[in-house]
Amino acid sequence: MVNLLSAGFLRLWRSRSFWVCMAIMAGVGVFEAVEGWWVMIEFRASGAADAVVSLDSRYFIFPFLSGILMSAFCALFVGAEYSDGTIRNKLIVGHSRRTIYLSNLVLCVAAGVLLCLGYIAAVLAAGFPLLGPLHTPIPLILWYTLCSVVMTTAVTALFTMFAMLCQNKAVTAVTCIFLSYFLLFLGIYLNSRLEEPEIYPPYEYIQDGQIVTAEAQPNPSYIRGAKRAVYQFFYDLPGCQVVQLAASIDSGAPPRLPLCSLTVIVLSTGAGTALFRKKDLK
Amino acid sequence: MTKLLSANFLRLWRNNAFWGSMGVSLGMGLFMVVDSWHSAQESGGAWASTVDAELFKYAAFIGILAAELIPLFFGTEYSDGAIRNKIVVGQSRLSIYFANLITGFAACVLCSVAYMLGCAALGIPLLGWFTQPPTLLFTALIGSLLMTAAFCAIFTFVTMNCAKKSTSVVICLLGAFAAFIGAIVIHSMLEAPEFISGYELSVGGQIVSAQPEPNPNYLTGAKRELYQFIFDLLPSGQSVQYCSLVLSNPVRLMGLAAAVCAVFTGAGAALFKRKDLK
Repeated sequence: MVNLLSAGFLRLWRSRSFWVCMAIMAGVGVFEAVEGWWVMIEFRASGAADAVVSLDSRYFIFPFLSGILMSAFCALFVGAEYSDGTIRNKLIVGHSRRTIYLSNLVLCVAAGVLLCLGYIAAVLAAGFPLLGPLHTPIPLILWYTLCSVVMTTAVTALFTMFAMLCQNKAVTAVTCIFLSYFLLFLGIYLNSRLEEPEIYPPYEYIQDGQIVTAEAQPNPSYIRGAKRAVYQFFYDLPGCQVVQLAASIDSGAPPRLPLCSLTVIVLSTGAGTALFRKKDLK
Repeated sequence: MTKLLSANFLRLWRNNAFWGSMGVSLGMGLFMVVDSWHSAQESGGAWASTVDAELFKYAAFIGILAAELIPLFFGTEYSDGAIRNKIVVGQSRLSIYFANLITGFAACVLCSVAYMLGCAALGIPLLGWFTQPPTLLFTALIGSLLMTAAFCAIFTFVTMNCAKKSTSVVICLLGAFAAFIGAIVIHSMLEAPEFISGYELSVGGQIVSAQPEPNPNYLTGAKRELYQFIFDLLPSGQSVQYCSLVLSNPVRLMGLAAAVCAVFTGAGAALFKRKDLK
């Protein structure tokens, strides 16, 4: 395992896809900070009363990006083991299939964590002088960062499973990228459905100069019962979770989110290793 | 060229990715109609839609399908060495490039037709006959086909000049999704109201109106024109417009799509002519 990891990390440092992903993360981090500063200057020039763009709003973007980039990275990095035939070489020199799977998972997870850190370092380095310090309390920031990193790890575990079980690198890339965007858009959709109010509150409007009061009305689109539980279950899945994390920045993400991510890590790794052990590597 | 095209189409009919894309397109056409009909039933007719409103929503995903289909289909030519075989038997690089471009475009048009057939077959009985003027529908049809051609030209450019199938898949798919998200962001910026509307409230039975305030996010002058130009130029921006059937300037959209198509095809063919195929 140690030999596999040291060889893997050596390959990681030389991997073009890793450094391209890192450059994208860091580049977006710098761009977000500079764009926020530019917007602030424009607001001030137009005399807007609330001409402040906080660094916090730019800091909390990285989980949206990390999942998408990891889908491409895992497919390319792990898929190269199949296309180059290195998996068979590793088996021939006596490594077990379990250690090969786990070493690849550790490498991809390490890459995912480094990508998150790359964004954080870039946005803080550029944003601190331009936008000022973070206003969210430090414990909340650390909790959010931890939840985001665990979520990135969970989606990485899913993508690693697909990459280890599919020998066609291009098909793996298509599957993982579609899955990452599907989860993101599903999260946005579920957020909009779950956030609908149960009852439309009473409101007043003016008709022909008269004030008319409309009574409170139940929302027919409000989701109830078992359907709501199913929606909430999918909303807690990693990938969809990113929308929930962004929506709960001020209050702090509920602890069930990292627990749900950990469950996905354990289940996908268990299923992945079991299926990989039986796989015909040709 | 004719031989290349007939060989490409023969391969296309046997390709799983193509039939998968056709199935997805047909399924999306049926789903869109059923979803609209269901929403109309649920809201008691308040959210009623028409078949026209659903017919061009294929523009939202045809770019994504092209980004998946073109690199998977033509990337195989590199991985299997078929490109070298074609050159060995005397085909020119230009004819190989154009045959692939035409085949990719035809595959995307067939996917669009599958969507439209599914949408019309179920939509006319459930949502009723077309309500928009025929000229608008015809303009949207021609414009969205040109937009599809622009997508195909861009993805053929990437695929034919990148020898690694998986890399071209990643570049095309991530690029397509990024372009769509970028188009949606630009659209929301262009749609920002010029004034934040003043509200009316009653104070002791008297109606008091607050003055509308200028919106600092509203784009003006050259900046607005630049954003509008980028929105019209990007095929993903055009797809947002064809989806909603709200077209800024149909002739300009078609002209820009044709220009994107010509630029990427010209550049792609020139680069492919010089490419070291190893």
